[in-house]
Amino acid sequence: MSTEFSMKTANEDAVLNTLRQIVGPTNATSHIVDLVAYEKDQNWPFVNPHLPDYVVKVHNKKEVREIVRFANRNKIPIVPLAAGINVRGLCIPTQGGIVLDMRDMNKILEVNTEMMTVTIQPGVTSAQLSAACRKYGVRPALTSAPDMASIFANYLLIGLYHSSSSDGNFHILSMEVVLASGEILKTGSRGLVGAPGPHARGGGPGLTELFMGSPGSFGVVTEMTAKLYPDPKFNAGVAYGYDEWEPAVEVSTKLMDARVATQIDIIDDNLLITFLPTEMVDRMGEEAVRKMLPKVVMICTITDTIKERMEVNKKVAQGICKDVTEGKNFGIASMGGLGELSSGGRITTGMLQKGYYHCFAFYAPLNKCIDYRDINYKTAEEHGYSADYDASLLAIPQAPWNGQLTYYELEVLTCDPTDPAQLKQIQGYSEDLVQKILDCGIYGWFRPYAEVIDVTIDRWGTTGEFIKRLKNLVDPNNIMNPGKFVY
Amino acid sequence: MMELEEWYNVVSSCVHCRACTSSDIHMTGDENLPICPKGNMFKMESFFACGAHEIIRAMIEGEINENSERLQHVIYSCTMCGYCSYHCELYSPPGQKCKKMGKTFVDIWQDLRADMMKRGWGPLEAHNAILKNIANTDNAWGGTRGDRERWAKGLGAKDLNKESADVLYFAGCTTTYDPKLKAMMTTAAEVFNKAGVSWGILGKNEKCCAGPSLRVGDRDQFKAYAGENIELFKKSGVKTIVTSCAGCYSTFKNEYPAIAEMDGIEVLHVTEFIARLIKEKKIEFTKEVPMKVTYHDPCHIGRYVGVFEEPRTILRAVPGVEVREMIQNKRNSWCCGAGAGMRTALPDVASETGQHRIKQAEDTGAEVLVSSCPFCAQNLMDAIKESDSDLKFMDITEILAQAL
Repeated sequence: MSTEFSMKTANEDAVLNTLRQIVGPTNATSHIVDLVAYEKDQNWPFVNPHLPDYVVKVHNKKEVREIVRFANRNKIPIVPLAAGINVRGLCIPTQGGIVLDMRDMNKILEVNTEMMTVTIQPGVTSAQLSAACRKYGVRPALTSAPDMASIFANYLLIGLYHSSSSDGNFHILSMEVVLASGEILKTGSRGLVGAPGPHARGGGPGLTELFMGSPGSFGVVTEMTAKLYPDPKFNAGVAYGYDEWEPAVEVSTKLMDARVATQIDIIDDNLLITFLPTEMVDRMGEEAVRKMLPKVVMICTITDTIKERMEVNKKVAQGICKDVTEGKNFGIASMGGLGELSSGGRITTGMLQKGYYHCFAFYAPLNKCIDYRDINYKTAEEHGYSADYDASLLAIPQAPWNGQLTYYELEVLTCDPTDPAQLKQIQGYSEDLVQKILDCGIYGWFRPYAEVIDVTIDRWGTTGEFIKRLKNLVDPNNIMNPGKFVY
Repeated sequence: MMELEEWYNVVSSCVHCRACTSSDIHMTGDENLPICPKGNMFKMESFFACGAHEIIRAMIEGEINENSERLQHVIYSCTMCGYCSYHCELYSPPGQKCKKMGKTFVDIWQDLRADMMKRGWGPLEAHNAILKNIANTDNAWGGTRGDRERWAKGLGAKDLNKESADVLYFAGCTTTYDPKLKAMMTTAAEVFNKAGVSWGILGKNEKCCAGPSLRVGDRDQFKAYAGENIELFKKSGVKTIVTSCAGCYSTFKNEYPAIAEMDGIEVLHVTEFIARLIKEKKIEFTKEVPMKVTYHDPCHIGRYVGVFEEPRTILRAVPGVEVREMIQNKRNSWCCGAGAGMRTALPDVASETGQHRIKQAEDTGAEVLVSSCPFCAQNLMDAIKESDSDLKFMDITEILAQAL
């Protein structure tokens, strides 16, 4: 047997030939062996696996543009995939077409410490960028996603960060987008000839946001300039555990009002145990560890480039925590997230330790925290899960703090959907929970999950209709990741 | 050994976090380094462990229902180095599930290849030649049985078919039949003799461990040879088996216990055995060997079994030897490229993988690349030539023999 193996399939066609002419013979495939790797992700109980017709690995903007133009002429769906980590079905080609694998477009084009900006391609990972920035004494907004995830895609999809309570979740300044027509759109100051850099906002409505919050539904973003932040030399943590939720929420609210925290995490015991080292839990036994844990923990991370200011903020935080009774002070020297704020990039899939991890994330005010907790624990119980073991809540107050903006995650952590009975169970829980969360009231979903779009779009009224019109204007043949976010 | 269907739950739990594609920056000098030789070479998702999980799922579900060259390419271009498994078990469900079962991804890949053979979809022609050689000559290289004992002539080895000894030195097919590797055995013998070890060989009766059979998917051949070897070991009356071959070692250690009881016979890699001799003060290395070396961890003793410190301990016991670590070392070692039938069937993949390692070795400033596995030795020696490198390759016992 020669070491030259054929990629040839029975169904090779003119489309594949054209794709191969654009990207080279080994970078486009329609072989089932290659396609199956793209047909499902962790959210398969809610987004049915679906094979792409083609997978194309692109290496530069020129190739992207040619593929998009070709796809548009032939009305073939295109699903862009940045680094390939996808836990919510957003990159599953539910209508077939071309998966545009952009993993090899992974260059950091510029780290500009004077302007505090970085310009990157889609395949740049979180770890790659944080390591590169570290050499310059700066840091990007570090995502809470695994370190091999695309930081580019996280910025596009408005992710969660280790400094969300102080820096917020919007980190993109400008972008370059290949539209369905093949035109290249530049947002922010990129579009202005003679601008001193691709950094600032241009005049008129900001176009950058049109391409954020959806998985390539409006175009293929090939380059972005994002914000950088000073690398904090000093950090500290204040953590308190509570057996009731009210004081945890009160403390967090006061800390956010005082603007002293880089990040605040409110975590219940079921979730907290998944963040602990597995060997420790195995050694001590889960029950023994649970007995040590309070019902809810508030962890406040404080970082700064100036030691004195960090110490003042720490004192303020400690004072606020002491003013609210019933809490128990925790030493948090070993909490991983604190170190990651500056060092960045460990894979954080602790929540997957028990297997499948199902989560709904959304934005809502912190003062409704206990309502969401009750909804999740009760719904979990109604669907046969244990509120004491399986269901969990995470709340992270966000900047800007107006409206008590808070990121919430309601989870079920113990479920194996490869078992048909458990699959039905998680689907029932999910359907029920979405309605209850919407009825309770939220600002919006974290991501356009397949499970939420249908029921949410009905409540969106003209807003939803307007987004559909915009989509139709930009992508009249509906080739850009069709079936996701807008239909 | 499991049927492929039994892995359904494990492979279905892959979340494509891509831990199987790249190292953790905290472990490899603040850089995300590639960890999968075939994925790094062929780039498509199907070539990484996360892609292989989906291929297995699709084979079980019947979505992939016919053989193809592409399928063979993806499946047989894996060296089974196990790096993906180690990294996944730190962070993600499939690896963690395997760990709880006392398994690794290597078990999945072996069962996948057994399934390919059961379906008549594998192995590759070059692999079939190995299987035929084993069946016809009891060794993977087709060497004559009479040559098995030739290397040991005049070295004081006891014939364990006629007399007894404490230790059976199991040379292994590759070390025995590749003349370039003879020093691996003779220098090990020199160390044993200096330490006063009572040791012997099985000579003409030594047979292939059948690790290669298992790696390319022939379970029946593996089971037959493993059963015969275990009986032979018991009959020899030895307390300990020592081997310089990392492949034989991991096969005896990890795979044989599932076939039959070894009746308490201890299995040690030569590096473990010599480290023990040093600790028990049965041997001392006194001569100065001024040499900057870097040690390549063979997958089969490193990630497969966890022998990382012993080779370094014995190298440091040699006066004058300075050990420099490569950026990917111990559990994070880059594979030499030879394993799981790669060097035989896909020599270009083996070569490129080996050359990647040579570059890492050169970056340390070492003069000598040291290892402790005949397959690594063959592939790295060739890779040194192909890279036009000034590095010299030595087996670990060759260095020790210089210090006696």
